[in-house]
Amino acid sequence: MRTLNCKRAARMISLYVAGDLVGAPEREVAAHLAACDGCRRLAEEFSESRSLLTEACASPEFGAEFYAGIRHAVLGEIASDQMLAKPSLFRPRWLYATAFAAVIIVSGVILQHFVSNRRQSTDVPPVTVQSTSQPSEVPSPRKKHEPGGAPGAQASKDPALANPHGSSRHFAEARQPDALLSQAALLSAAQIEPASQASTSLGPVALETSSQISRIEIQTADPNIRIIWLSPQESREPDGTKHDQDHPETGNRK
Amino acid sequence: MEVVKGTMAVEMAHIFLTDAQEMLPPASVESADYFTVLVARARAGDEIAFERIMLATEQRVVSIAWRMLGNRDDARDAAQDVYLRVFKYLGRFRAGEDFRGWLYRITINVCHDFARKKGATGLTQFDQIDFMQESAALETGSRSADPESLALQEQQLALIRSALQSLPPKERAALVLRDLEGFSTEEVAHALGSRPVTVRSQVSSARAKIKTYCDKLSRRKGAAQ
Repeated sequence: MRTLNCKRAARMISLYVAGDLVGAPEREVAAHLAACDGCRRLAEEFSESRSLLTEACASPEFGAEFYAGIRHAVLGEIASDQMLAKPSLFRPRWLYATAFAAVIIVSGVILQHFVSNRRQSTDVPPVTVQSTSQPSEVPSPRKKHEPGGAPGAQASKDPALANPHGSSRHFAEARQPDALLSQAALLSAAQIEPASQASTSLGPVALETSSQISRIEIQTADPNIRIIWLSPQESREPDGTKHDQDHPETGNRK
Repeated sequence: MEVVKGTMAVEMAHIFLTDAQEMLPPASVESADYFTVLVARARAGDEIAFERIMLATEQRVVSIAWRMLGNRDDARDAAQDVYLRVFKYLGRFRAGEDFRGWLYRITINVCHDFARKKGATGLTQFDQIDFMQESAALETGSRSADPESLALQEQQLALIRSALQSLPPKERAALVLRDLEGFSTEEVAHALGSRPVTVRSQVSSARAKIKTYCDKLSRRKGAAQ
């Protein structure tokens, strides 16, 4: 066992008095204190100051109400936090989030619609349907069976069959083949009356009617594709009913 | 209405817990398994289990906070903050770890935060009520009941507490846990997240500073007599 000098022992005395030293260091300090009066006095002062500190900082009795108040406050805070954390559609945060999502979705739909409209308008030229027949001669299919109905008045009620330019009929811009087909079907359903002045193909789309067959030609955006719609003339039954037998066909014409 | 119901539920839980706590033997309250079960239940959202944890540890937490901050109100606020922080970070507590060591580390950190908010020096005066209680306790002791001596003792104790408050935060925490709370050096090291050698160094330095204060007091006392 080595012997300590006073300087080194003084640094260890504060640990020694509290029992923080074990083993050889503890024995060395004990041996030095047994031999050195000055260091022994120092150890006594450390012990005294330690007991004074313990005395001065003795924890007071806070009482049951003090602790209950702490628990109450903590549990109340936890409960309120958990209530706030519950997701609900009626909480403002979720309400704002839902409204924001709805705005985004609606904006997206509107934007997509706008972009697709612009693309169509730039890609496909307008298609017109022309006919030499008078508008008054093309009655509305719904009004067809009405006895005594005025064909002219019926045609003027149908916006699709309205004739803003007299003899030629311009339909609303139908820029896709599907739209053209639907237009042709509309015309076919319109049961165009066979007229002596059968229409001829004057434009990209033409209507032809003969005494036996109604012929509709529709020119699509592709110049090589023309849709020809042949519709047999309606046969009127004595009771006023009719039977439609449409035979659409499509073909390529160079 | 919901708040009233919540308050009633808390009170009922408290009554139940207090009864249950009294039925538990002291050894089981002190055991690590006791906290392991309670922590697992509290993590699953059991508020009653969390209140049991508070009941089992609140005195020590408040005591540490009071010694660290030197003020009754600050100690109460700090204790509330400690338990809210414990509840918030209960999910991060690793199973098998010493729960009380983790809890005391949070307590020390909260006290450091409080002291930092109070001011850079960390010097806070013990409030008058605590001071008088301490004085009353000393009065019943072996010391004389002479008013002049009592006043001198009060001054002594106040200065020692001020000395504790004036220590650097880490030294103060080490000294409070080791000398006042009676933790072992290893427990203090665990609570402070440092090594035992560091704790010994901090404790030694803190004791030397406190002794210097006490020496000054002794000299003043001798001069007064």
